[in-house]
Amino acid sequence: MLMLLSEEKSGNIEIGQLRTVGSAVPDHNKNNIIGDSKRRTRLTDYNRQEVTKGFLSGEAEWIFWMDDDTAPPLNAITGLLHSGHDFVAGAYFMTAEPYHPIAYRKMPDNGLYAPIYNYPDGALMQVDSVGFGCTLVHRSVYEKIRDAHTVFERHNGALLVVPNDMVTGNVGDDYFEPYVKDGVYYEHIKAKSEDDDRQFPFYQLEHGRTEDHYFCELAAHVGVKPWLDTTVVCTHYKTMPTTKDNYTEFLLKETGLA
Amino acid sequence: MKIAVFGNMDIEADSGVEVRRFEITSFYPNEKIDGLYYRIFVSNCIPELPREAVMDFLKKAHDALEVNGEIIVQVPMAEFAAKQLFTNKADPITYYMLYGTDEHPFRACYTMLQMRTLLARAKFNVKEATEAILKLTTTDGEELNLPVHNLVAVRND
Repeated sequence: MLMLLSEEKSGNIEIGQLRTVGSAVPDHNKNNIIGDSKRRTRLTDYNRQEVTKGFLSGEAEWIFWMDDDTAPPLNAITGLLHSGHDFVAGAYFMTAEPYHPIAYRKMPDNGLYAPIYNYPDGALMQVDSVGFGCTLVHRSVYEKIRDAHTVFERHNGALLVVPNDMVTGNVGDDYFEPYVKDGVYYEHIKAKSEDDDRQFPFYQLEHGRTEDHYFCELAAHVGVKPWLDTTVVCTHYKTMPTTKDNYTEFLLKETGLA
Repeated sequence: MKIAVFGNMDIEADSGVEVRRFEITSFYPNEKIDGLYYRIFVSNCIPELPREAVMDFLKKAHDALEVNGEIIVQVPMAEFAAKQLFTNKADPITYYMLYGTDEHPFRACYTMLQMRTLLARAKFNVKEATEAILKLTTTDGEELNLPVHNLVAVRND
């Protein structure tokens, strides 16, 4: 809260609304709690969806994501905003060795993600995926994603998002069980029905991955990649706080400099 | 449109773009005479300046840019050179990164964070700060790969 107040006091930011999943702050004025305390235990993709829904229905230009286990520095939003990028994250660190920042590059040979590691202090670099513990996103990124994708319903009822330019032909009604032929997975999908009030799935936990990878891939489809600003350094709280010092100490030991 | 270039780098400018080359130690921009630049490249020459002259240069560069104009700065990576020294792997490139040459001696070496801080103090907004490799050719024709910090910053008053 102190960090948010500092933005209005010494930054150039006007905080429009706080959208929180359960909050100790009274629910009036700017604080908009999206659920009761039970929602704290709901899945992060659901909660991010709900927060996004509120954001897009409002008038704010930017959304700043701050997880309840992440403590950004004072004026983090101002710092991220000055980078001039529409999608930019601060650095918060994995809570286990090698304590790398939660940001990744996609490896071209297999499509898997490798963590950003051994970067110079002060780097501001484009990456392929970032965590959303301290992340600033412009409204236009959500709008571009929504406009450039089609939402289908999968055979199991889950929603599937496909870039418009990858959709050809018609969607048939004949249901069939998923199968694999010649190494290609086939699955029946159908158009999302008009009375289905589920909102556009910007975030999905799938394939054992966190929901932020999913958003980053949607953004990449519309030509927006996240940036990592390593001067905005957060503390990441689990049982113990993890800071940049943990990362630096491990890195120095690993490179024989400590 | 005009581009200013500091340092020995190849620039392929589009037609209609004027490229002007300067020595970093003698840059005296005059907006009334020269107009403003939309891009300034400073490649591998800030270390030639005494430390006390760097801010003065960056402020002049800031004022010589159009609003939304960009400065692109490349400096040898102090972190890389230091690591090479501390792990007993220093080679001629390491010493070049730290000391320059007889013709262009370096007065200082910069980390990414130092360079970024200097640009911010000169009122630039840094939009990119990454590692890069600068290809150098020696007088003997040998090609060298120089690890540099590559920073792109914007004047947006």
